[in-house]
Amino acid sequence: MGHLGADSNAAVYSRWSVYVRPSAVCGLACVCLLVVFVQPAYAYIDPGTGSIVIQFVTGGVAGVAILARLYWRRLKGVFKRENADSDRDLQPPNRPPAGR
Amino acid sequence: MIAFDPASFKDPAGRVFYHGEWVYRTLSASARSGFEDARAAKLIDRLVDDGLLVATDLVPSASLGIADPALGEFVLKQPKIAFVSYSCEWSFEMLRDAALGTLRVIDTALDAGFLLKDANAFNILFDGCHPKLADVLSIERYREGEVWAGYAQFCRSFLFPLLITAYRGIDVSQLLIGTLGEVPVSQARTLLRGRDMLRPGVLKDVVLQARLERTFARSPGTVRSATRGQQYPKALLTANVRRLMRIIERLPKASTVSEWSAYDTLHNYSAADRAAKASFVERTFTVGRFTRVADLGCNTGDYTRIVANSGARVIALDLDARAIDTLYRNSTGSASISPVVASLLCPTPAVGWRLRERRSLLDRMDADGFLALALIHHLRISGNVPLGEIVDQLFSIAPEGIVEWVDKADTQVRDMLALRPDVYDDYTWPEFERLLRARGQILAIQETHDGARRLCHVRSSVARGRESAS
Repeated sequence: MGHLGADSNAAVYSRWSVYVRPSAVCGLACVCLLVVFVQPAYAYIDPGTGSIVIQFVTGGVAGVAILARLYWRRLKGVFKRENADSDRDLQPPNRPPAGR
Repeated sequence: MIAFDPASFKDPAGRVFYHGEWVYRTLSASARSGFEDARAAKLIDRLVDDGLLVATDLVPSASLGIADPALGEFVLKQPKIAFVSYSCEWSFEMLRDAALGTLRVIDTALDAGFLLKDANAFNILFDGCHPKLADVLSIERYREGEVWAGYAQFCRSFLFPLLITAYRGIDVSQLLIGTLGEVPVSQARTLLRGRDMLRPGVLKDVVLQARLERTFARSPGTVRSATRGQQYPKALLTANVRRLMRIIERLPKASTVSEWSAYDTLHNYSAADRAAKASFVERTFTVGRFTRVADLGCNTGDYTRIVANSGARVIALDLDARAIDTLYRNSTGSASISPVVASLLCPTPAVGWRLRERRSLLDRMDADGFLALALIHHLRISGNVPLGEIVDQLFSIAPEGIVEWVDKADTQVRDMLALRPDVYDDYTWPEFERLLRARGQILAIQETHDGARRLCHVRSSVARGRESAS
């Protein structure tokens, strides 16, 4: 439940920001926030991803290339999500009930 | 119908069962060919000869005389490890040796073209004071270019608990009980901070791993596609294993002096009292009389070794991890002493799936003798356990043994009562003697410390049962 709660709060926070000031600057700020303040990981999702990446990353040049690729895809993914979210968020946001 | 070990459901390669004095593992078709390959490559022999793996044979199921289709054509056969302890019950040095053992197995296996598919602490069993890999089905053929899938589990099971203990001085055993032996990377990241960042292993294996895990845990697809087709060179894998070995070998020793491990020097027992105690233990635990003795509150093991010399296996239990560290290092090579860090006031509970996956400490002891020296005042006064309960617990651990009465006149008890009201009216020798005689016999008594202590050789008159183990 903790995981679900954190997840939905983050989504609502980003939608709220986009609604109040729907500018590109604000969108970019949200992207940065999402990248910097990533959600905590839960082992049941996939305990192996970080460990696979770290083995490549600490392995040398190929690892750095993989990391660059991963972050680029992640950034692209966040932009796509943001665009989709702002289309939906033309309606005023609803605050979630407390504790959800 | 075979009763499989309730902990062996995770790996589809095979399940564990017990028959006679042996442990058996069923084998899937691929597990059988994997084992035969490892044997043909001389890896199994090499690991067994190096003391890194429990001796393992492939035998026809028909030789067991059990007709059960679940067995398949062949099974793996291993000698039973007499007492199984879990990583939450290991001292720092034991965990360090188990970690190094795992890494040595991987290093040797890689050399022969194999790898361990997982790396959890339950795969390692202490045969006395020797850590050995028991889960032989963990050995798999290494595929060129693959990453070490067990790396994260190795970190959670071994590296993180070791780093947290060495650098933060935190007792991780409670954490290991609650997490089935694996400290999550996010917890390790929270516990290690400040100057720890500069210490070997912390930045790369903890901080960076936690960061990448947090960032990419929800995008396994992205990770898969970004690493697809990428070959991870075997030399890098070997280098990573050896790097971890160096980090773990060089971890500072946990301080060797603690309240208990310095007990002998802090408490001025007379040489005559010590000699009387040793001689009483020796007379009671005569050669061949007991097969399995629980030494409850063994400290650094002076009397443990006397009992072990009688040929009995000794489960040496103490709540002080540093005292156990000293005992463990002094018992290097012993096959008959099994050190355990645990408290009788809060023994390791049963944990895991349906609470059957890992058994409670009391359930695993299965002793026929006990030694409870300088223990009873801690249980009664520090633990507030009534005397009758203490006697019941001792007799439920084993039907016979030595318990030392420590009177209120003893300096230790006087110190314990110095700062608390004496509400222990039942704590008297006549009451203790009455309780012992109500439940069994006192076969011999020896006074020491000018009458402030009494060594009692006792035997339960009740047929052995676990109903009073509370």
